[in-house]
Amino acid sequence: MKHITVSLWLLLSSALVLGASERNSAFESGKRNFESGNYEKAIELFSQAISSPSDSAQRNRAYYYQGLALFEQGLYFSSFISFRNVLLAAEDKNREIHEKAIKNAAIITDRLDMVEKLGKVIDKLPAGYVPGSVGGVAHYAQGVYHFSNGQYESALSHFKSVSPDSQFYDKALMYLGILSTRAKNYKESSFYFSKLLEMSQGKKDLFPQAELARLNLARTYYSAGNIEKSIELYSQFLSSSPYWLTVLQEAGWPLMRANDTTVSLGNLHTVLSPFYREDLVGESYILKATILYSLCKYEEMKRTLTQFFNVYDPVIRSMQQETASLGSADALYRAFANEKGMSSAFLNFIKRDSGISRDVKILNLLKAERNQLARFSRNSQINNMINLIQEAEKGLETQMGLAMQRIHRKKLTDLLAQREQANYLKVEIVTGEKDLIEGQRGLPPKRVTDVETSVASGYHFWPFTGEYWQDEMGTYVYTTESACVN
Amino acid sequence: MKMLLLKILSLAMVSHLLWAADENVIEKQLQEIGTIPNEEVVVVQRKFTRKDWRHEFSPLGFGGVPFGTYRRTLLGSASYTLHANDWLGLELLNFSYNKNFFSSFLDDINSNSSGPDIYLDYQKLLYFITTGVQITPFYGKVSTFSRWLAYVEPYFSAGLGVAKTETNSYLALYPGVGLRLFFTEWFSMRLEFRDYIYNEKKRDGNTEMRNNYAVSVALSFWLPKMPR
Repeated sequence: MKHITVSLWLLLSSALVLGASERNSAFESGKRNFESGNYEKAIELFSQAISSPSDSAQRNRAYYYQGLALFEQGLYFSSFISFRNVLLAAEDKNREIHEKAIKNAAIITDRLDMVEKLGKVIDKLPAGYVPGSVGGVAHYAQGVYHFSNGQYESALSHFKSVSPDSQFYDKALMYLGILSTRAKNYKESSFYFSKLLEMSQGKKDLFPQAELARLNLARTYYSAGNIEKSIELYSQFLSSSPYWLTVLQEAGWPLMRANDTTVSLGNLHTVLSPFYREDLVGESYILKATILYSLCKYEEMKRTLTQFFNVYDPVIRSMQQETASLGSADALYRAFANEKGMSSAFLNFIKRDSGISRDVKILNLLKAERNQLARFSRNSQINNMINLIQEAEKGLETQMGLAMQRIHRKKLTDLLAQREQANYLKVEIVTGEKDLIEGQRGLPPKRVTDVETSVASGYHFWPFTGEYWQDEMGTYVYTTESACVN
Repeated sequence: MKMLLLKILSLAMVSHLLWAADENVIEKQLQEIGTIPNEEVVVVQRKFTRKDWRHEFSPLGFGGVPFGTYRRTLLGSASYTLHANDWLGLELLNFSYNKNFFSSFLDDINSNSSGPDIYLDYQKLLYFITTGVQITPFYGKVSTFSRWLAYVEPYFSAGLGVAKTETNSYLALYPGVGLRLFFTEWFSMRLEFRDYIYNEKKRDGNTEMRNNYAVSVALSFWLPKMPR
């Protein structure tokens, strides 16, 4: 009996030892392959090491190295999943890889615009499991997570904890500016945007961020009533800016407040040119009509409003039909993806949206990654990753659909409000003309003003003959004088 | 009664016409005052091709003197021009190397003629080295197929230099006309027509004025890359 028991014990221990050495050999073999650049083989070996029952420390290390190998293969989302799994099973024995897992996961999720997913995981980590060296990264990720959940106070607190030497400090500043604007604290928001603009100057890779910071700063100054500063910032945008068209539209408001009709009408001339007039720029028609009203240019005002109705009445009808036929976010996304069932005006507007363009790129990345993963031998690990990518794709499509739905609703509401304003302005034309006649007891003679145009050295001017040239966009100037008699 | 009705009707018509005419005048005036004609809209642009103290290097030029019946010349050229301002350029150096080809025209005549063979007193052109000025009074832009834009500048040139033939060197003058086409601020193309004129010494000791109508195309690179 003793013999049998001892033999049984011996058998069990050798099985355990064998199993452990198998796991170790899969992990060690994987590591060797990783170090020699055979990433595909390494991924498969790490999958084996993970799948077999093993101690958690070994499994976590296998996840970590698998994450690195997947990253080298350009399989970013899968790589993030592996690093996330390291953090989900956080324990004392693996503290040395937590720091690296957090850092790598942050880089990947930032590239995939999914930082909130990392933030959610870090939020659940026990206290003391986030090394001080990645504190800034962790706070940023948590900030984004709380921001996406509408928990703005805690988001603010996390973003303020991101240190200036963190790689995400500039992005944290952007979020801080947005949160301060949301709270209508314009002094703070202008501080954050100014700081971000200063940091981004001269750095080519931060150019889009710098432009967005400048735009937000201009908007903040306008909201705070600092019209001159707002105009100064709007004037700094060049045609190479991704926000150039938006700036041409928005700058008209502070310019109108400053009575600068020369540049504001010139900017609107570009926005309402055949190149852009159908890209949901209805507000520009209303702004132009308002400025023309202040100059008593009623005939021109009539033409502008007529053009608005001609261009946007069909767009409004089409968008109202879309609201009825494309009720759900998914339907809207499908219409966008297939470019069918959606008005061209709204489609062009959506394509210009930087958030949607970025999401499309990420979606394509995920689809390509899923196809690449299909090459690997199908084990539970790989299957799980494929499923998670599919879920992420579906989630992103739904997110895009919801965003488009929100934009569609807002744009339609705006267009309807603009249409109402246009109708009021039509009435104002009649009143204005009546005042013009009554004020002078007849009409004043047409003033013939010979405006001498001269420009600085290095500049030249062309007369506008009704023909729009692409290279002239953004360079128009109106030399019109007011026709008002008082 | 009828007459009265007729009178009232005519009066009404006349007053309506007068009132309508007044209204038309007012409407017309309102239109005039309230319109912004195109003349009041101006495009103010930075000149795309600002040339103040910029250097134009044209290391690659091809062309020829193709208009001769008997002799045709292919040429490859390189030049350097310093532009003082937008309208005045100093072509400090232009070198064009020539390769001559003789057509079968003379051989055909001689083989079909019963008389003595004709020999033409032609000297092979070897190269031109010239220096001159360019005047650019015009500037414009062209659009191709409503898609691509290019900025064009016609110019006039004149200069002098040396024309080297296989037997002699001559002082040559040239007038010319050309077109510069800018694709970017630092890259352009030149299409030029020049007449190199010199007094060629014949075998019999006489001199004869020779015109060499040269056409060339050259690619140019500009420094600094962006205008100041």
